[in-house]
Amino acid sequence: MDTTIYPHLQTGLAILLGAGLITPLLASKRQLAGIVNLLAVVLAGLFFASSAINVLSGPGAPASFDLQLAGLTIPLLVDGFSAVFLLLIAVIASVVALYCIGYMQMAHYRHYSLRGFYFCYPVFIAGMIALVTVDDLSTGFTIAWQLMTLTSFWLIRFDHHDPVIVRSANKYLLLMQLAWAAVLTAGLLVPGCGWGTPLHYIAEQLGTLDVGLRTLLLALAFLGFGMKAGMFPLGQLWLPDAHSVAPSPISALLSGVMLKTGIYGLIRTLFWMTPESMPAHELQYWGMAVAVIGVVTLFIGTSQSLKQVDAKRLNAYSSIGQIGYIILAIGAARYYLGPNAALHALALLAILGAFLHVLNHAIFKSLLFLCVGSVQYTTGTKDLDKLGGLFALMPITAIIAGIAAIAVSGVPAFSGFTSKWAIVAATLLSGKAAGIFVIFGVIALVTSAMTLATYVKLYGMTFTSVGVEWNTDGNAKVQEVGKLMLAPKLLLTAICLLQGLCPWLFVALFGRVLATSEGVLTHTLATPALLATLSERYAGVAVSNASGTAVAFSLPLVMVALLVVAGLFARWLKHAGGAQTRQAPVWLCGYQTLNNANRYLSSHIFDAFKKFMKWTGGNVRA
Amino acid sequence: MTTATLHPIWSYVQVLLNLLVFLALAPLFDGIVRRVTARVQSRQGPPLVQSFYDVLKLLGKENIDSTGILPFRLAPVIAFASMLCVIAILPLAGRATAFTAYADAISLVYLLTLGGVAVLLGAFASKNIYALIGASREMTTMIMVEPILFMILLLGVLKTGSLDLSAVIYGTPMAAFGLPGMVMIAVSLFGLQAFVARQPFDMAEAEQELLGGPFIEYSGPNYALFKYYMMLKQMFYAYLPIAMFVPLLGTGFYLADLALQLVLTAVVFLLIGLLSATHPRYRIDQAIRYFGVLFLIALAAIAAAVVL
Amino acid sequence: MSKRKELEAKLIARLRDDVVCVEKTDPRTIFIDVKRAGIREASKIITNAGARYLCSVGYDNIERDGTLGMIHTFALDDSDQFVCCRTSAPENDAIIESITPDLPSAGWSEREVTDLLGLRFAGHPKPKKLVLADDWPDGIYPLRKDVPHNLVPKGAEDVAYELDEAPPGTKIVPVGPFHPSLHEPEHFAVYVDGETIKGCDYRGFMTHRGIEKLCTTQISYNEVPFIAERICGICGSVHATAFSQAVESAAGLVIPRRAEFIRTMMLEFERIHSNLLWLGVAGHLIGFDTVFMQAWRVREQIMWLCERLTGNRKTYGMILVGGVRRDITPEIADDIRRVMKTIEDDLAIIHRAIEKDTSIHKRTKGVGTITKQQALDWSLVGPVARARGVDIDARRDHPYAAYDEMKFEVPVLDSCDVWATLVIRVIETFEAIKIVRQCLEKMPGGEFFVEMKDSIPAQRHAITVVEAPRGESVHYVITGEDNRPERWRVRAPTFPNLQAVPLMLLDEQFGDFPIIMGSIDPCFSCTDRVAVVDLQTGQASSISKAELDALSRQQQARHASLKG
Repeated sequence: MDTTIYPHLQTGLAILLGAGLITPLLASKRQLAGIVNLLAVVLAGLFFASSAINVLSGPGAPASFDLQLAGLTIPLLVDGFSAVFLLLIAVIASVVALYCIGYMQMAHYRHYSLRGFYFCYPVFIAGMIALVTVDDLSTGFTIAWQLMTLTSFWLIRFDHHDPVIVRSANKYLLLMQLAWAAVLTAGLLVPGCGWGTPLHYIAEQLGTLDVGLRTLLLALAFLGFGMKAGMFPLGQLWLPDAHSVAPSPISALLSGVMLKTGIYGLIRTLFWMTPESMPAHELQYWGMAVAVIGVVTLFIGTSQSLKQVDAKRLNAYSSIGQIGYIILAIGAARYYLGPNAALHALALLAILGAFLHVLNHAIFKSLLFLCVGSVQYTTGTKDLDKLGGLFALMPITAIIAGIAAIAVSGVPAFSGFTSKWAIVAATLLSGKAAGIFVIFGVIALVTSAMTLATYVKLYGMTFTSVGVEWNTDGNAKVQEVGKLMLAPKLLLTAICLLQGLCPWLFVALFGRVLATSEGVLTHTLATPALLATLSERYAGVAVSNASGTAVAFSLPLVMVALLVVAGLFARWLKHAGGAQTRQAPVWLCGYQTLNNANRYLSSHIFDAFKKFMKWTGGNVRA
Repeated sequence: MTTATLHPIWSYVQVLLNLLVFLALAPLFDGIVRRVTARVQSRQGPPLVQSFYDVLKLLGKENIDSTGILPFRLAPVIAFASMLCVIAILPLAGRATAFTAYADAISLVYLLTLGGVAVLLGAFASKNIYALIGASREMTTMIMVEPILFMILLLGVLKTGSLDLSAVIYGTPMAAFGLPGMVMIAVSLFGLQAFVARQPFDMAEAEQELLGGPFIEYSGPNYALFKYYMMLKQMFYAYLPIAMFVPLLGTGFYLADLALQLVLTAVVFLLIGLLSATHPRYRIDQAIRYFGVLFLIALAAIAAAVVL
Repeated sequence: MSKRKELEAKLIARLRDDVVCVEKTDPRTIFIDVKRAGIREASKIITNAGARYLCSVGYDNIERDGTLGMIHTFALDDSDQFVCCRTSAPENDAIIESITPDLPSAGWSEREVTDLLGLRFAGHPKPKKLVLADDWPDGIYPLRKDVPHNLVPKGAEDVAYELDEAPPGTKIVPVGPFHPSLHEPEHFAVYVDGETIKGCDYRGFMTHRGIEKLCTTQISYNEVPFIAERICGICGSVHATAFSQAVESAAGLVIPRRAEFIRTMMLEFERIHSNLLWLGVAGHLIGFDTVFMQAWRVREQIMWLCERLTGNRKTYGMILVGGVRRDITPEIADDIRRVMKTIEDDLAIIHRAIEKDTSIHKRTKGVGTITKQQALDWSLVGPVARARGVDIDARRDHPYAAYDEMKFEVPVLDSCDVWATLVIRVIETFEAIKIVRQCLEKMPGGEFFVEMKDSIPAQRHAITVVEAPRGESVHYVITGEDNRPERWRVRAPTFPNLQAVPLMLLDEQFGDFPIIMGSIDPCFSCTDRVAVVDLQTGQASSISKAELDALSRQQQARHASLKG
């Protein structure tokens, strides 16, 4: 057992809280404050990373640790599962901190003091770190949750001159407090458990309860975390409003990592708070219920996302949709973990899918928010009806956004593909053993086509298509953002591409997570026989059945190679005829010349389909 | 399947054969549609190889670029390349290629979408309102139709418990599909015109309204690639139900199997020609409702396959 | 008391001093001269008496009394009467009250007069340029007598037509002048909200040939029918007949009965070929090319027949002032019977196929709906009006040629959509075949042409209507000196129908735009006939083939130089 895990964790948290006190003093010097904030977050991140790597490289799950703080006992536990979230938060928080330096100097924020911002930022990160490391549902949970919620509330209402923003933030605060109350109630109502009771004890006690009360308590915890994660219909209440009004880097944090703390909670609830003494069918009911919620969430969230004209709202709704995939996978995994051992391999695949999608979504969604932020930074708007034609002006941001958009759409060889593949394959391969999941899989697939439509629209309406006439007044105001804002995006793009091309790395990481955690997942799934069904090769990932034949495979590297070769052939063919290229104006039937009035708006795109899907809500216009 | 007994080099030859068959026959099959349409309309019609001539001629014609941005130029290349990849992994007449083992049914569906995405990318890059209206119709069709295609494949997945393409497409004898199989054949017939984007479901290109929709700004070699892409895609969609539902001859002669399948594919094209010559174009709202019903029927067939 | 008397009495009672005189020379037409103050009131009284607005004619009277004249014409369909309400305004105060607020379809007529004669209309809801090119300089009014027919003014610079403001949330799809669903150059700015059409502005009149100016300055009565025929490539005989009838009526010339029968036949041939042509185009516009090809295959029969009959597939040159050019021989009569039979059989097959085709129903039923009241308000004509329950047909209501002897049905449907238009045009084709057969049966012998011997006195007014396949064409002629008309106004059926298209398009799907627009069977060249300039150059173009060729060559050279 490595003894540095918890000290490093505490040091990191201390640095963040310390930075929260010091940085605001420098807030009048915007750039300096940003840099100090970055340094603090990176330094703390390094400590967290070291702690996480220690855990993941360890031989098994580390022991928990009781933190004594002002007379309170707070149980901490950093197992492999927490460690991954630690890493994720550390990476994204650092990258976003880098982005903040440039972004917070935006002209629109000129009259806002950054004091509050730089107080809240590190504390917010600390809150999230704390949330994924505390091991109770009461004392530690409350501290962590409130640190995270209150600071994020202030970050969301940063642009507080707009009453709409303040209202959205207030709603967020209210709903998060309700979520907190729900989880806290669940934690405290379990007989024999009080403030500071560790999770495993709560789970044991739950096992002894009668079904009704147990269901109620689990449901409360589930609702609380589900609210945070953006589960249907609770997510719709706050998520699009909060995510769309916060400053873009904060939106990236909210969507990229904060939602994942909800997922963290859901996974803990479903797999750690469900004692093995619970009847198997009851657990399967839970799995089924969660999967149904997941399917509804992903379908509704995505179809609502399709209708949006505000780029950030679109991303926010899409986050609900993508969270739906994760919830579906979690539910499926819970269901497959039942008595039918034949399904256990699929449970492994499903939970792998959830795990990969958590990581992938964190990266590409942060990236998308940062890109939208960059667009907002230069053009001053995030309204897709007013954007367009930025490819020529902001080529690097455009290409980065393109990669992120393709990733979220699940195009092969990009990062969303392998995770969606795992989730869809896990549902489809269940066959007759769990027939309804096949239907879920089909719906998930329909939805990924809708995701594609959503992002084709976002991308097309922002970067290609007809633009408003930019830079008409002579000064090149709309141009590529500076290096300070490109660097963080490039970093995330690199990670995103890595995730897409080398999913095996993350499958291997997943193996370590199972190995260094306790609980039902590790006990049931981390058996050599089951792990053998999941083979990771350099080219990708394959799943085999009991007899060893591969039944599903995702090999992005091969696909990329194929696509490149085919692309080269296509390119050759294109030039084979020796045709000349000529520039010509856009063809508009010969009378009108291209102008703003001929621009098909984002709100017009997919008109017929949007009308067809009107019943799913989230409509922008009546 | 049979690949196991062959020398590995043959699986690479198979890739080339696949490409050759598709690249050579897709324009001819397109020619069949044109001829059948012409005959229904009391016309002589162009020669069967006309679509070849079209592509060749386009390849040499002036390439007009009205946007000057990369996505516009990249789109046709991506579309064509993605379709070539689909063909390269397709087990033709029961024989897997060298790449079949690297992509499963889900990958195949996503690869097909990639082609669609490329079309849309090009359309959005075109700055033309007609292209955007066309793209928004094309995307709508894609959202509704791609899952239907996938559900046809899914029937094979359910029967064999594998997503491997050879197993999905050839792993189940026709009879084993039972009632859901019959329903799926009907679905693929009713969806055929939508798969190949012909009347009554060619509203994305709708010459009379949208002047070619997504492709309006394309000309010369760029357009040639798109045209070729459309023809390849059309052949793929026509071929797939044949491969799925018509049993192989089982004579052991690969070429006999292949010939039979291709002849049947030609018959499907005859049907496509007849259907497109006898229907007006639907409006997009009418088409969506049609697809919706088709989708539900296919879903019901899947549900039945799961339960039965 | 007859309707005519009743109307006269009413007008005089209500307008008193404003009525200058009522001219009753022609049994079919009342000419009422009113002072300009009473013109709006007069037109209200006339329409309230049940008259249907036809069109308005403006004319230059400056040389005579220093005024610009304006005539609003109406038809009393149930008593076969025309009412022409004339007024005038002095050149130096060229403004009269607009009747468009009461009669929306007068909008274009008045704008046209403003453009061509410089007479303005107070209270016009949309006083924008209509027929002149965007770069036509202000202050030159081409139809005034002092403007030579071959004037080439220098084009104004930096002029762009201001399209109507798009309704909020909508964007403009520019349709035309080069668009596959338009077969002639015109421009529609269609305002769409997604797939839904929320409005439409029209900038047309791009097919400029200056025919009216040409015929009032360069050629004589006897030559005009050949030019009139060239107004339209589809309904040429209609225009030639209408013009000839107007001149014959002004001259009091009675033509042989046989000639009237032959004219009737020619008109019905034209109806058959036009209806088949439209049926095909309608099929094409909903993406059903098989209907297009088959309808045109059937149509080919009539084209060949006409070629045998007249030497031309189209633009027959049959109609002359005073009769027709060729006789129908017994041999050709047999030929006609045979062709009619073939067409009837073939069309019956197509008709059955279309009738049962649910997918055609899907694309045409409930599409392009406007109510009967709207159709009346906008003075729609022809099959478009009859499909909206408006029971009018000039052949029956204002019989001309030999229609008084013909027995035929006038199909009227009330589903108010494109489908009804389609059904009506198919039925009318069958009716036309019947009429042709009746003509052959009942045709009297005798001469088929009578020469116009006396010169026609100047300053006579005459109006005629002829039911073209797509609706009634109105021709108004004011006779002049030098053996040529002083003013000749052609109002093709597309002129009123096109004005109602924005209404038909409202809240329909963009995918239905081609078929709705196509359902009126727009003939832009008929509609545009008047203006004198080519859009880009402001060049006047009188038409001879050589000149036209030279012009188009110039145009190409100019484009090439622009490119370079």
